[in-house]
Amino acid sequence: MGFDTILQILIQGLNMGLIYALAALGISLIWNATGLFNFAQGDLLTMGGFVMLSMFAKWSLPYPLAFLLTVVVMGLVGYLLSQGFFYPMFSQGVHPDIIIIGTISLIVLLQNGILLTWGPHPQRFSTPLGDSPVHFGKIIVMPYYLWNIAIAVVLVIALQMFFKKSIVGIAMRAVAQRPVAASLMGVRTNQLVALTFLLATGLAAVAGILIAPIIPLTPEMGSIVALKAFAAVLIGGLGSFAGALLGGVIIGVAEVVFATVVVPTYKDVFIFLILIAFLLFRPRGIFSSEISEKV
Amino acid sequence: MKQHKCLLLLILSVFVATMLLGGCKQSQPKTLKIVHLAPLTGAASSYGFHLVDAAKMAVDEINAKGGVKLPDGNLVKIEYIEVDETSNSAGAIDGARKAISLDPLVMIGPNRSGGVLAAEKLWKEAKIPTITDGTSAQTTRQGNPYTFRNQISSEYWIPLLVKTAAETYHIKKPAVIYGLNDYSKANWVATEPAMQKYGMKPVTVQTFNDNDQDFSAQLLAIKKSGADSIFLYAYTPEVGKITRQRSELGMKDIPIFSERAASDPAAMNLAGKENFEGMVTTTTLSTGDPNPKIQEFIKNYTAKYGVPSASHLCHYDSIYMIADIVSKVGLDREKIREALSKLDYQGLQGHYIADKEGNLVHYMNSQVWKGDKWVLLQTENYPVAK
Repeated sequence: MGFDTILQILIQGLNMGLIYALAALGISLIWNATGLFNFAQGDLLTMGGFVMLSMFAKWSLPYPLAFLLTVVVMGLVGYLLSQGFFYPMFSQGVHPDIIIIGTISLIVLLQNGILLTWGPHPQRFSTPLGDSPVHFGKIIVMPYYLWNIAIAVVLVIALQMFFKKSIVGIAMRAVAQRPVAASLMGVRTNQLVALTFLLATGLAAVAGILIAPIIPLTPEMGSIVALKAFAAVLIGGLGSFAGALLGGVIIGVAEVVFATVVVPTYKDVFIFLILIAFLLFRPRGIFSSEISEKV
Repeated sequence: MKQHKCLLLLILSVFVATMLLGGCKQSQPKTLKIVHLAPLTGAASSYGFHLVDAAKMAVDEINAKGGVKLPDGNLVKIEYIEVDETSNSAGAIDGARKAISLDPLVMIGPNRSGGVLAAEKLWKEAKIPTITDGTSAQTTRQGNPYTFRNQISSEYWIPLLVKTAAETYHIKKPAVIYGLNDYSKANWVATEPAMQKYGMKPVTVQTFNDNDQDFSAQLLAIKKSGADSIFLYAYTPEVGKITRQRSELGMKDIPIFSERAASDPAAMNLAGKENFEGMVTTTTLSTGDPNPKIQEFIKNYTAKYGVPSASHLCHYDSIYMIADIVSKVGLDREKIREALSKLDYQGLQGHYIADKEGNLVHYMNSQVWKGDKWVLLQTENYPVAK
């Protein structure tokens, strides 16, 4: 196998890894702020992709405007979900495990809603950067790979800063770690839960927009991506954004390398063996955050 | 007291007789009920709607003319009900149970071979003639006299594809990539013997799992093998993704030979028109077929439902076929089954003849996507095994 081929494989792996990482960021955000796993995060990502499809590909809005509107619309969807679904359960003291199971019902609701609204046909849209491959010698790179790398890195840095430095971010972490104590200290749990879901769903929308040119939009697409994204979160370290990014990249590169060097058919088996190995020998992941201590 | 008992007995007798008569009356269907098991959700739903729309179009046409004329001269309307079989085997079993509970005269579907194999015992026990889709040769080899197929087995999809590759494109070093599902595996099984006939042998054989998103490992292996073509067997989304990734990896000059999933417009939408040029497929119905009747049908379908997936319009003919049989034998399942097993019927899309396994289709076309449309390449009729 030549150096060119190895490099090409690594680029393909990085591309897939960023897809998982983008989905994993939203999962990490909700975990950071609420201590919950939202299994429907992948389907919110799908919905974001479809909303962008309508705005950009169907209604021909300019890409930046469609991007922004999609994030806003999905942020509102997240806000409504928090107020109509998550917060009522929080406020009634429903056990977090029950809420997590409840998110599975959201998957069914969202997938069928998407099916009814946008139909069953797989769809995609391109980016303003186009679909023509860029050649670096024998290496071929699609322009949206570079675009996705830039966005993912910016998002990770922004989220890290937000949770470490801003008052709101610190308050969100406080609510996740000690909700009663945070409430007694004057933190408005309701508003923070709403903000968390607004942000996480907006983030899912960004991921959906960036993923759509690579993975066709179908009602079930998000669940397929989310499975690997959850693995990325666990490998990278629960609650760590850098961990989500690294976990995603590890999974993406590992599966492409395994598929090339060993056999493509069992690449998923290999990935989940890696996950099991992490759970056995490093259960807190690569970058274990303070919040993950509560597990 | 005795009078009261007699009266009570009389009332009970009248009641029982009424129930029995009512029951008899209920078992006499007033309509020609057809239940269509189609993939309306799940991975195959993109063409599930084509399957249903084509059948509905025929139902609407027949009902608009008053319905189907029975041998006794009465007219019956077709009652058409679609049931979602969710594109998987478990869904096909659930869907078949639901369909049977609706007491249809005839069933259509399921769509995928795995679904047919999973659910066929149910309609065998219920003794309901069922016109299925799947292309795996095994679906009509289960010894089920109630299973028929309005599709052609993969044993016939592939020989014409290989013949077209060899004779029209002079392919010498094919690579094969297929999904690990019953449908694609059956196509692969039929490939080697077909290639041997033309002195071809795959230079590499690659596989993938359904719902995989990245195929770079397989495509790079194909590139490395020096293949002059790719034989691609997959469901529609994977056909689109692989065709696109082939171009992204600088392999656009290696032509793809595929089958009916590639004729679904969704495959081209996903791949991008610029990457789809030169795609060769086999199909039972080609929109490039110059036959004026077929062109008119395609035009009417497109006006009503949008761009068709030509290989998935087969149940337009299934509905007319059932109507024709019912007009001769009446609303009797066993007689319909018998008529289907001896079928010799000229439909719009082709001539249907039942073979000993219940396969009704014995013709095939190959086509190429060229300059924004499908162009018919070759047509072949296969012998019917009686």
